[in-house]
Amino acid sequence: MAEHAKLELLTRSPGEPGFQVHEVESHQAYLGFRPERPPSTEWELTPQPRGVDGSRNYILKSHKRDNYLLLGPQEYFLWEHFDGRHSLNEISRAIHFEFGTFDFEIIRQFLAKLYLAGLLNDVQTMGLRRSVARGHERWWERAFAAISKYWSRITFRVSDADHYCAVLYNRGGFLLFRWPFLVSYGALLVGAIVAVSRLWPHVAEIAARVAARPLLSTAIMLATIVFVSMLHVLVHALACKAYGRKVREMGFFLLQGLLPTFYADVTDIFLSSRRVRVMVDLSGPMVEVVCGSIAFIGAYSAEAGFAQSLLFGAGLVLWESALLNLYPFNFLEMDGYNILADLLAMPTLRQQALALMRRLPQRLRNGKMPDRSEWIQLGYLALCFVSVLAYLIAHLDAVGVKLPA
Amino acid sequence: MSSNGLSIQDFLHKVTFLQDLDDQALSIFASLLVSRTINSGEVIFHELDHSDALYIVARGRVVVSKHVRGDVDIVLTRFNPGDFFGEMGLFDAAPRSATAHAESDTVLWQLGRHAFEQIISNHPAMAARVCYRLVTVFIQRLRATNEQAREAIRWGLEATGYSPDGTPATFGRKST
Repeated sequence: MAEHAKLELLTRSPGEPGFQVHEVESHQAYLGFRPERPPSTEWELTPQPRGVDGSRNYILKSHKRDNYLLLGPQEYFLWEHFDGRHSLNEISRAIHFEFGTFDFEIIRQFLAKLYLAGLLNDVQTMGLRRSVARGHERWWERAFAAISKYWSRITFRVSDADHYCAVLYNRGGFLLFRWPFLVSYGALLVGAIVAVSRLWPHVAEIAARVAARPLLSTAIMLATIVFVSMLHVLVHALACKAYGRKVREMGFFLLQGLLPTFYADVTDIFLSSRRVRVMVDLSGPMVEVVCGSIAFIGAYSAEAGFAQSLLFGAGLVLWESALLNLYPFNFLEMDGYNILADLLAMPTLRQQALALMRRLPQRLRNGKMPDRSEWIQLGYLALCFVSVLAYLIAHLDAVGVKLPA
Repeated sequence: MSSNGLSIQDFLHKVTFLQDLDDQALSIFASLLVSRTINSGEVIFHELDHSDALYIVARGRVVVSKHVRGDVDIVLTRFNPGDFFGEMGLFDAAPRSATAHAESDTVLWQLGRHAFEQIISNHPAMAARVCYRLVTVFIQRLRATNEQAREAIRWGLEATGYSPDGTPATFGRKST
């Protein structure tokens, strides 16, 4: 590591001749730094349910930048002490007494998060930080960044989505969340199950009719998936409005930097209860369930032919989509994962688990066994691996790839 | 005589911006200098003072600082025997950009702007040699200032917890 930067300061004592020169290293000033959070009108802090280890996370919202931070127990402690009166040196001692062990890097990372969120008074360095960091990348990092940049150009966002969603909700969208509609979703589901059970004996003929016109079938299925995905996201957003929270933005992006999909940013629901979050998460997959049910009932009502096959196929695809969406163990942060993370009170379960996986060998070599929350993270990882493997094997088989015996 | 027993001309010959001058020119130059003695801790000139002279350090040490706030200055540089400072005052009547203090008992040779204008008028060839050397020194000092600015920024980033380890992520939930 490079030496700490130094400044020489010249000071004079009042009423005395001469001066003194002091050399101040940057880390001395860092320890003496007294971070100060902005006035409480500029942020909102909401406690989250306790996790399996009894610890509590908090969601901190910056009104100024309209972004959110997840604070762990130590970060919350820091936030409480960032009052402009305590130096980092004093705070680090206090946190050590409170938590027993303490990594000073937590302060550094937390300060960086606060700068980014505009939640520290008078310090704005992130733009510079990013430009400095860019200069130190290796060739393959630059190549990857270039590919990501072009790939990410397919994304778009609607930043005033909250306004449109509020209008849509007030002009009829609210009906989707009223009892008569909820009961009708149940009735559709029951009707669809009956329809599927009646059509199942003819499934081979239905599949053959779809397979006979592969291009047309594929195009219609894709169009159906895209259309229903948009509806899915819209219903998430309307559910968020139903609970009086803000939809930050909507758009199209690469989930985990890879999977193109529509999205609605409903982070504001973290300022509501866990029950509300689960309801908002469930509302999206219900769209696939309801639309799939309508397709199955339509297939049952239609005469045997290409249209019936398409409807049946669409129903299957949409129900499978709902299942995938609700299944939490696939490495993707879809609705099922969000529900699981909420129920476990571990909002960053996936990131924590992946981080744990990287440092696990070293930890085991040092003889340190995982604690309870880490066992949950490992369980999540194991189920993800097994599930993805099983899914791949099943679909390889479906497309005719023969696996070695 | 200078601090280390050299004659004034021998001493001036070691000063960077006078290195191209011959003995006759140095003798003319020496005749225009005025000696000043400053006790340790005293101020030679303050930031924002009227500027009209260049100083050559004959003995002692000078520290140059710029006011930051309250009673705190940041040290910009130090000058030892043979070094010179305040050269902006020869060309520019703008106020002094920094404060110069004697860090130990110091003897200076002062060249006033009026004397320098005399050299330009009466000895243009000599003035050209001096100016050429001064420009070279200006460039070196500008480079040093850039480096100092870089260090000051590095200091600020480190002192406020700056970390180059990737963009810190804000929290969010995108329902898909």
